[in-house]
Amino acid sequence: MTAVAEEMKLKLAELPVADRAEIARFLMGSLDEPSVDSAATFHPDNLEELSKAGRAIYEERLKSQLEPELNGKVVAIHIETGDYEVGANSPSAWKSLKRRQPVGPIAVLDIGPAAEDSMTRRMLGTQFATGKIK
Amino acid sequence: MNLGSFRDGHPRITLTFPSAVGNLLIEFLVDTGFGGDLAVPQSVISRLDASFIGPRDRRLADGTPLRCAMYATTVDWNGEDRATEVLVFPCEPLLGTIFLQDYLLQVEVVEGGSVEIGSLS
Repeated sequence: MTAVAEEMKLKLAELPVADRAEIARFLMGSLDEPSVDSAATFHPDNLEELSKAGRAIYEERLKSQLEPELNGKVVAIHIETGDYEVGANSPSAWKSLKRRQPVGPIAVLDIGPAAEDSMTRRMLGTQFATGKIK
Repeated sequence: MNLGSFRDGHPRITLTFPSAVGNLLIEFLVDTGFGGDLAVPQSVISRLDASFIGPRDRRLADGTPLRCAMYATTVDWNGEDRATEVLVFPCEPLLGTIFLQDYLLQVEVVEGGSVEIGSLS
């Protein structure tokens, strides 16, 4: 059977207004109260629990093994087993781990002290640059 | 590959996401300051054929923690499937440096100029 492809092209102008409101709420929240509890989360319902579980495995079992030698790299942690893989970046780390642990959630954390995150700085800066956030 | 154009101050390219119901074409802003593959808002990830990987914790420049949902999806890349990470974040779709790794990015920085991604060798 020949599949009929329905091609849809999304452009920024077509994004729902709700997304823009979400951006604004995120920005206001992040600037007003920079605490862990106020961390903006955009996720399946259990994302925070998964993150805490991954962080706990890191702190209890991996931190002493990985720091400081591997500071600046990332670690992907299979939450159910504690199996992990270190990589230069997030995709390479979790893809390698997926080959051994194909089922179950994987948390990805940065190894070492928190550094200024250019990724998110630019993400937010982009919103200002394109006039989506005033 | 000519994948897009320079418009409104930024290079932009369009990627094709195969799915069971057809191809989804999404335009991304090329952000060389974004150290990731792709980032899209929730409204877009829900339209992709993507599987949930888990949480990705990052940190803003002011120290604020940021927790994103991380997904895996497939992009049509020069006729072949390419496994790609997608973070969910309330931004316009962004394409970052990890996606561009080991490729040549050429941008004509003029309104309507071409944006091409090619091989390094």
